[in-house]
Amino acid sequence: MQQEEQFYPRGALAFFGALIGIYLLMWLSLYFELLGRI
Amino acid sequence: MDKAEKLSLYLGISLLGIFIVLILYASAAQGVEVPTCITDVEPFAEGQLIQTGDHEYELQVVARMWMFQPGRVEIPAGSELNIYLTSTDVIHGFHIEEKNVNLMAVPGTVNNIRVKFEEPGTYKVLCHEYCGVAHHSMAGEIVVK
Repeated sequence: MQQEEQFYPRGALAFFGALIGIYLLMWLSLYFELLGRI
Repeated sequence: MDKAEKLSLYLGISLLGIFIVLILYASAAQGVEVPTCITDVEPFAEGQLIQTGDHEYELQVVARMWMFQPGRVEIPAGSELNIYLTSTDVIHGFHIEEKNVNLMAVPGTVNNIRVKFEEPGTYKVLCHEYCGVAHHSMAGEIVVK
């Protein structure tokens, strides 16, 4: 009997991580721009 | 719950936590203010600059088609401006370049924000709400010496 390979969504997680990283970068650049204008 | 789902959820929640902490820091420690609409000041028809203390000024600005009044203001470096803004005709915008000032001038109401000018220079004031045919020429300046 063939054993089933357990599925782990590596690609989806990597995409989500990249999405979070890019969003964080954009948000922080705007945030520090705001603080720089005080 | 699936392990991958948990990880995504924790990532998202951590991000929200970081944003909230940073916003609270900017507000409490750095004094970033949100513009307020004040109701206890009658809208005024003439703009003027009034010195209220050492390096403290009250600036009453009237926005109208297609100018700010006063159009040019001079203050010494290190001054704090307490800006009151209103409009006599239509809705205008009030944005000071290089500063966190972005207000709406609405007829019948007064909006308020405080801003400090440490660096000498000329700060352009722009209308950023389309207000008619000469909207693009509606600008003023704050000169910090």
